[in-house]
Amino acid sequence: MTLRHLAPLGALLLALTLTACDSNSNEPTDLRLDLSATVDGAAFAAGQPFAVNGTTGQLDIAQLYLSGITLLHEDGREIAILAETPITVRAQDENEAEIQHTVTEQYVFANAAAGLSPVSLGEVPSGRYTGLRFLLGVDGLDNRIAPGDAPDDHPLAPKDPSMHWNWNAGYVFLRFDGLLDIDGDGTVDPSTGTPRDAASGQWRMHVGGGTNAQTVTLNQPFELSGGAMEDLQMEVDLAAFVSGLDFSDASDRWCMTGGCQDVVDTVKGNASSAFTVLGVQ
Amino acid sequence: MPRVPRWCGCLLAAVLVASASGCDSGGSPEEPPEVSVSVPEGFAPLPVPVQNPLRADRVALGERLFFDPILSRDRSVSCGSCHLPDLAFSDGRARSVGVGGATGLRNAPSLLNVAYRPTLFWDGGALFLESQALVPLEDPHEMDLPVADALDRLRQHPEYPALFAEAFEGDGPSIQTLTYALAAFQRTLVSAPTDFDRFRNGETAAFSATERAGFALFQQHCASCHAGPQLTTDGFENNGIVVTDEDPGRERITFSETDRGTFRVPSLRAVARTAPYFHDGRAATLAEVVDHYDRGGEGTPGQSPRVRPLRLQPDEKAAIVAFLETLDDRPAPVHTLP
Repeated sequence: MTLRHLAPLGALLLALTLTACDSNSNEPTDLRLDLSATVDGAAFAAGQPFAVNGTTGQLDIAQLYLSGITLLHEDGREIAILAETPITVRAQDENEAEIQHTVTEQYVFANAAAGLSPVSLGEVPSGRYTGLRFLLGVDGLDNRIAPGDAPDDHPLAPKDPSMHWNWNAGYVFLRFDGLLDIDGDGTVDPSTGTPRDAASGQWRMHVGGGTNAQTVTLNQPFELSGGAMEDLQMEVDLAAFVSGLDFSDASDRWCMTGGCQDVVDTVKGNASSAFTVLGVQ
Repeated sequence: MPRVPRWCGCLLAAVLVASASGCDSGGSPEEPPEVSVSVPEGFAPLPVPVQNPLRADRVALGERLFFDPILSRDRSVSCGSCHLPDLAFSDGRARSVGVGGATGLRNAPSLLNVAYRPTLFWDGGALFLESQALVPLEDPHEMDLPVADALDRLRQHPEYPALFAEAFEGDGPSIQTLTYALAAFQRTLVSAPTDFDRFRNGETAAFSATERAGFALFQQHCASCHAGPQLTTDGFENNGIVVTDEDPGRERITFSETDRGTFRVPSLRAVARTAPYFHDGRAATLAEVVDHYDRGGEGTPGQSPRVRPLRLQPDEKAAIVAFLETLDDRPAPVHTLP
């Protein structure tokens, strides 16, 4: 057999190799995070009752921040997700000096009551991933910025309902506002308006403060095939955050972080189990 | 030429120079005119963030908003209700009164020189003038109006949308533009020079003998916290006042028990006009304040070691009060007897 005879075969092999390369996803993926909220095994709906910690509750506001999203590639690479458009705003450093600070992180603001829609995470390498890591909260200097300096469409811009403790420096990382059944009749009870009132059905939990940002690592593999837009589907079980809290105790029903670190620690401890990677579509 | 704020003539000698031509501030004729504010000698240049320049139209809008009760739930209370120009932008009450007669936990602080404060509120809970504006707006003890409702009102107002558009290059009322306008106005609230400044600058005749004696005692006993031309370190101290769980002070901000009972060290500029005193207005007069420190506080847990018995003589206490009254930038009010 001469080389002339081998040439067509070589071309065929080359073509097959290139095709195989395409399907092995050397092309990056245009990735979105598609977060969905659930409670008690069903889709979350604001103002609708659900079973939680042995009683009935409802949430009218359920909002949280994710940041520092890092995809853990099978080959050992860690793919950090940064903002497509960094913003420069005022911040206050640890010496209380006002500085100009550039926010480079890609933040995801999830307002479960308003309905969640996919958030672009930009282009990432395709391939198999062992999981991902992120922070439930706002980290470092980003938590000491002037929120009003951020463009309206930025996740850290002022929100309504607010995710910034304007009476305190910093963001609320996880905000729950709702009602709980405290008399055991199966329906939620009204708020008396008095915090930690034993007779009040008010359920309010605002977790924040720099040391309370919680790293979540999900060792749940997924694969990005590349070459197109793909959605990383992830579920957050809102009720899972409060698992273990005793809602018969008024101090477990009303926590604005200060003076209730035990409640905050419970929520932080539950954070990893609240999130599940569902897959990629 | 932008108008001079309404409080200026009766309160402060701080000179607002509107660079309508653009020449005073070195700007081009195309740039909107800005306000420049004279500050007492010894003050740093007025801090103005690049994000929110002191445009004259923005300051004027902020001034109008500051005094407009449209920003309270029942349209009865404005920012100016608790920050009165004649009282150095405090309100003379132990605790401020909001809509429906609601009272909060704290005394309204003076807003004089507020641009210089690295943090705001008695507990330092806000880092920026812009972001602090939302607190009194939404606080049920103050103006009790959700910001979304406030913005709706402003958008439907016959004049405000155009004023916002002018001050913010076409943008209407938003959280950003509302808070920027209010902050721009408040940055112009700067003290005028006082006898204290003149004395510091070498005019020894600016002080009487009693005031000089008071200043010396103040330097000895008070100036480690009330330091420099601003008369504050801007730190937080436990000054020996008993606090309750209802208002634990800066602990609410830092979530640290070591900050229980600590509050901002206030500037003493114009202090004679900002009675009553302390974070909850418990001291009616400057003499009561001096008595508190002379006693060495109330011996509260965590009390600052700087607060200890002074054993001052009555004439020494009176001298300190006389000195404190020199910190005002206008003559003491004349009280007419009936």
